[in-house]
Amino acid sequence: MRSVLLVLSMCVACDGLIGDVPTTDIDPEASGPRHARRLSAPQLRQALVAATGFDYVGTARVADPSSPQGSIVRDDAPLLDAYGASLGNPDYNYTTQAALDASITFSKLAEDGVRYACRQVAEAEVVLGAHPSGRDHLLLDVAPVVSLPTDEAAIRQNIAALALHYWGHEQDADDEETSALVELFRAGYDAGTPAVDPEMPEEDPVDPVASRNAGGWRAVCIAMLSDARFLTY
Amino acid sequence: MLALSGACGDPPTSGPDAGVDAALPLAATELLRRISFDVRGRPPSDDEYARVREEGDVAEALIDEMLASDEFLDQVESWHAEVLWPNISRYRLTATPLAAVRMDPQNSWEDIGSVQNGGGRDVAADPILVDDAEQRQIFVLGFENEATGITLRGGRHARPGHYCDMNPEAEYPDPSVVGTPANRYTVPADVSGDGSAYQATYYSEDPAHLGMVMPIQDWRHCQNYCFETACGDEATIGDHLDTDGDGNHDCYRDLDTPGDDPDGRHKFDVPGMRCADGYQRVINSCDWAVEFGDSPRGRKPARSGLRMSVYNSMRDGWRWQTHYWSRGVPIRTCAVEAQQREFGLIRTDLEGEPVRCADVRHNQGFSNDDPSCGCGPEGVYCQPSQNEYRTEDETRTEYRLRAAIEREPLRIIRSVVDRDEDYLSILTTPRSFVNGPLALAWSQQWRTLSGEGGIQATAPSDSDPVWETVDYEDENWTEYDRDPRHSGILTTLEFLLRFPTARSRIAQYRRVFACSNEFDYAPQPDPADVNPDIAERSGCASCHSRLEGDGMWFGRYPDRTGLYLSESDYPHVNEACRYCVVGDGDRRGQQLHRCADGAMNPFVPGGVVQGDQLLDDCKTRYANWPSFGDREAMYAGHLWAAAYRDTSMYARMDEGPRGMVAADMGHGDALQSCAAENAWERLVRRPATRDEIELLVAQFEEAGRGYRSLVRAVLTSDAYRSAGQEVTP
Repeated sequence: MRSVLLVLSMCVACDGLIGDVPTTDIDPEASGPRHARRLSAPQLRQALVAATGFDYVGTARVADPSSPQGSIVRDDAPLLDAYGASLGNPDYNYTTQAALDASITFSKLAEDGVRYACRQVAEAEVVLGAHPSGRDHLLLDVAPVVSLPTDEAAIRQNIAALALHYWGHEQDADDEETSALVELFRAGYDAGTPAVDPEMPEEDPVDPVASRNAGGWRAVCIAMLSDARFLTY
Repeated sequence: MLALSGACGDPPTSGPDAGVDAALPLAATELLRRISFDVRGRPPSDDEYARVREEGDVAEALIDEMLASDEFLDQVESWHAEVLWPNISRYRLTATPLAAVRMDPQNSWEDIGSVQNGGGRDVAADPILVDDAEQRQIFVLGFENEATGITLRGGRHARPGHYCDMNPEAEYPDPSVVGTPANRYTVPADVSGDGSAYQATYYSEDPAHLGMVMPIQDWRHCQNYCFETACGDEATIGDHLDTDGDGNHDCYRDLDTPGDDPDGRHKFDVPGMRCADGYQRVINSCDWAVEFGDSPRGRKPARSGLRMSVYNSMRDGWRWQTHYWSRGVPIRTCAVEAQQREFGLIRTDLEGEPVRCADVRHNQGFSNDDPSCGCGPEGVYCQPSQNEYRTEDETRTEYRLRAAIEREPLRIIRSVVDRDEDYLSILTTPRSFVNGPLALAWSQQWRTLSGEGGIQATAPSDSDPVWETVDYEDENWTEYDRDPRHSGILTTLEFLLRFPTARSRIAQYRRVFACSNEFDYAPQPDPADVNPDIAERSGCASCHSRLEGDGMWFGRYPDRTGLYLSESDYPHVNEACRYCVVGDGDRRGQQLHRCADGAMNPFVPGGVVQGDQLLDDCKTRYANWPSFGDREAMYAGHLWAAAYRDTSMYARMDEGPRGMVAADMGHGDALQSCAAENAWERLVRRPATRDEIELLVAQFEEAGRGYRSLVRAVLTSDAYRSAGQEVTP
């Protein structure tokens, strides 16, 4: 069956017809692939929270029927909700279907959200060592201080685990794409500046390796969550 | 920016998708992610990934777990929202609207929105008054349309001081001393519109009048004067006799002449007002004789009598009252509005019985109805409102009612899917749900609900005990059964308002539930063809030959309303209306005055029209034309939906949308196929082939048309599980 499908799929022309075979008579399995679409705004929000444990929040006016104006300005407003209309949510008045086409607006807001969430999760898990929500680590499978010079294999394993967690993709720790992400980790590590927190007591300083690791993991997180395999399904 | 790749053109030569065959099955973990997003709107958990890696596939058991989740039902609602377009904000449906107003020191009024925002964007009075004790002391609630004295408080005769918050708090009668002289209470009053302040004193000698503040004594002032009997015959007195130069006719006095009672009490005839000794009550120039009717002696005034006046001047004061929406917090409310009467004191029905206040349509002009009703018990006939139509400017009560109406059909669909019932019963089930706002709307408010364009609504049933058990603040949904006439989502208020005409209801139904595009395209009409029947007119007929006939299924749900016209109240043909259009058949112009109050009409009981309802019905519910030909004359007085249609189709109006769905289900499998096609296209993201649909419909039917089964069948199809065309940044 697999070979038949392959042959039929190779026959697919740009106009959607399949050779001389009437479309309605073809094997259902070969009648065309499923089209990928980007995540909707609610799905993106759910996916980001599931991946990092952090919602993309900021200052925005949000609906609140119990307030005098029907809306209030919140500093912790969920921005992917607040910007829902720009992200394609229908209002059932002017638009009646969710817009799921690729768009600059979606790319911009999604990337903003990804950067925000990745920065938060890297700070929490790598620098502070714990997720504020009390959840298990979502970014790290290794200790925060495990780094490239000491244990590249562990970093590779962690990246492979993230591929499954983020993309549902089973990725080998040694494959080419993992290597590319390792190099990204290295660049983030090298560019990272040890965090100096003036509020932190001197006897409990931030580990400089963990601080640099945060830069590496943040870069990996942003790269993987900006990937089409995260933003589409 | 995302861009499609892997479709036409060169295949990707690098990156993760290079070399992936779109038709090959997707890896199990990636399939899990796909299914999870589709079914639950979120990615899988790590435990689920681990489970799939261990089992090597997304087992049907795991799919069933996802389909059994509440998250799946949320997705089902979301999918169907794209069918029902739940947004009726444009109608601004409210019970009698209230505004929070105060008089400023310069005696001009301000509403709470303009004060809060410096004249800018409006705010909602209800959260402010409930949450802000300081504002509660400043503002007072009154009818939105009349709060500034437009009609109820004196119209152009009103002075700023007439507004209720410029007067003292109104007293309450003591129910324990009803019928005794001790039970006396006063309200501020202005008897003549000249700004003079009076204290109107009421005696609750009749329990029915307990708490009455409505009979502001000159409610019918302009029609009622007291004529001094010493002046002789009223008819011989000149119109402008004013020897003392006080600006008033010497022989007339205002009706509420003080001291006209041995005990010094005022006595009122609205009810009970009378003139002082030495005066007799007369009817002045406000007698009305504007409606003419036919009589054996020709045209003459149909009736004479008192016309309700818009001239009032009152100082009713205010009271602290809790409202259904105020969460137990007393709100300063104008005393007229604060009345909690269930039956009015002024209006009577055709049999002379008091009118139930719930039936008084305040939005038609409160002063012209029965001001003694007020807002009713706990203010149920009223609702804080906003002048603006923008959604974000709704009051909390407006928002909650609108949101409930919009959600109702989705809640019906959710229940059908959740119970694995025949999916198509979403189009036929009488079952529905209420939350707090909807329960109150159906149990007590629906007669007073009104919206943009005069939108009105009919409750789903006459009554239901469930409605009485749901607290207004309750956001949970409680099940009940509507009247048997109901037909799933098709007779919900949301569907009727969002698709406001029979044509649009039919078109949407066929488009989304029968997957028909028959109404999407139309040829150019022929301007030379002026056939009044659009179903026959050139060009138009391509759609309307079907739309008009099918529209009869919604014939008892008038266009641009949420009303239902029952068979008992609205026969197919109203002979009285027909008489008002075609008369004896020798004219070709309608004569609707034959249906006006007091007109002679042989097709009404007693031969004389009583009240305004017949004329309203004949103008709006039954076919009539200003001028017409023989063909129109055939249909005059028939329900509008039946105009130009064959009488053999009239039964459709009585069967309603249920009959339509039954007819469609009895002819072919368009509804089943469309349900399958919609589910397929949503999940596989391409149209299904005929073979795919046939297979899916067979599975759908075999599973009793359960929607979960339908979705499961798609999720387990090879097409769904193919790798598919990817999107890359």
